Amino acid sequence: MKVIVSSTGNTMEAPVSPIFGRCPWFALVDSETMEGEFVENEATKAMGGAGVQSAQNAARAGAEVAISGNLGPNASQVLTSAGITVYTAAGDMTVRQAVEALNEGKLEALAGPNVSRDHGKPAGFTRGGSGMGGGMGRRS
Amino acid sequence: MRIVVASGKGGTGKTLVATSLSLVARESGPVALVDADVEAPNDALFMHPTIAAREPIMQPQPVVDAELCTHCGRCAEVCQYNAIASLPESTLVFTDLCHGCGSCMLNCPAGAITEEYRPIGYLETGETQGMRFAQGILEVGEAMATPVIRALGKMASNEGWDDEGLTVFDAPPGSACPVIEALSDADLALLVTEPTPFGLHDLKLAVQVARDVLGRTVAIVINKHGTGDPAVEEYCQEENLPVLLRIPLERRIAEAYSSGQPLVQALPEFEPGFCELLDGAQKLVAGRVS
Repeated sequence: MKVIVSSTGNTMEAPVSPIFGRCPWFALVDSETMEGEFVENEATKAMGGAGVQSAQNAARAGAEVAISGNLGPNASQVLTSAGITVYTAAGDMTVRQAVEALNEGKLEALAGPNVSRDHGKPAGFTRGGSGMGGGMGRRS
Repeated sequence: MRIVVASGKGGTGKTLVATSLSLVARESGPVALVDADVEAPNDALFMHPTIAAREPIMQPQPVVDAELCTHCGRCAEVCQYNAIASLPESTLVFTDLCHGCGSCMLNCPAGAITEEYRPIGYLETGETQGMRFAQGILEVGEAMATPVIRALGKMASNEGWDDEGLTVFDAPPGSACPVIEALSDADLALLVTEPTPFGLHDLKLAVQVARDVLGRTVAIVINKHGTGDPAVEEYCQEENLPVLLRIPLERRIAEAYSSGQPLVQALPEFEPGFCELLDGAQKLVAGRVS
């Protein structure tokens, strides 16, 4: 079974990323052979829609199951439409440990998104721009 | 002539400046006040316009014909906003990410994408105190302010308001897409700031956008002047940015404003200052043209 894991690095010993859409690396792991293929996540640079793009890429890469620390609403919708079940893994697990835990049935499946939109978006990507005092912060 | 009142930071006094500037400008010719702060249009609260017409702003969005779609992924590939997910067996459109650019439709090799239009806001026009009035209103829950602002700007141009007289265009705060759209036909970007570290920080961003990126003529209004922080004045001097008006930090101004009165009508002693602002603005624009 092909498992896509949001990862903080490009090895099987890298910790699982707590974010999905903007995680630095994706690991496509064969759960039987435990061999992983690592792809740098281009969506980290996206102004918006990182979850949509990442989830689409996961589906097009042929993943049947996904593992991530958390999952946002858009990514969740895409993965659900593609028939991909998402499991959560604790932040201290490595990619290898997470897939092993999945194989042992120890991971919990997510029923839907567990974080809000733009959860993994760095501060510099925040659009609009009112400072303190104006009380009119807004998204553009 | 079109003066776009912008700021960077929110709450610096764009509406205060736009309303009073438009009121004093009536003596020199036809004036239009356009409220382009479409997420929170407030000018009407001070100007009490009579609204004569209201029309919806329609935004295109792609619709995928599942029968024709071959799931090739080209639509998602060309979408600059990641608004489409092309999956092996289905294609999803995220309308709140879509900018309605039409690239997906134009690039679809199967001709499976068409556009449908939905209202995202309204454009209202009318009249107040002898001047034209227009405002854009973005529907609650809609994410794209830019098309509504674009519709306002086009209307002011098409109706000849900028050519016949003065259009005061009250822009939204910030320094991203909506502000860039608001500045697109500006003869002058009038940036309202306040002498605080926040005001200065966001003023610098607004200057970068208006002057450095868009090449607009920029002038400054310092509101809440006299707080003791000289950094904004120093910055304007260093950058050769003309400060056309300083509005003092005074309780009576805040009280008049809080009671919903335009400054120059509540406290007429500020009228000469706004006349000088208008005069300075006109000279800057004339100097650039000649």
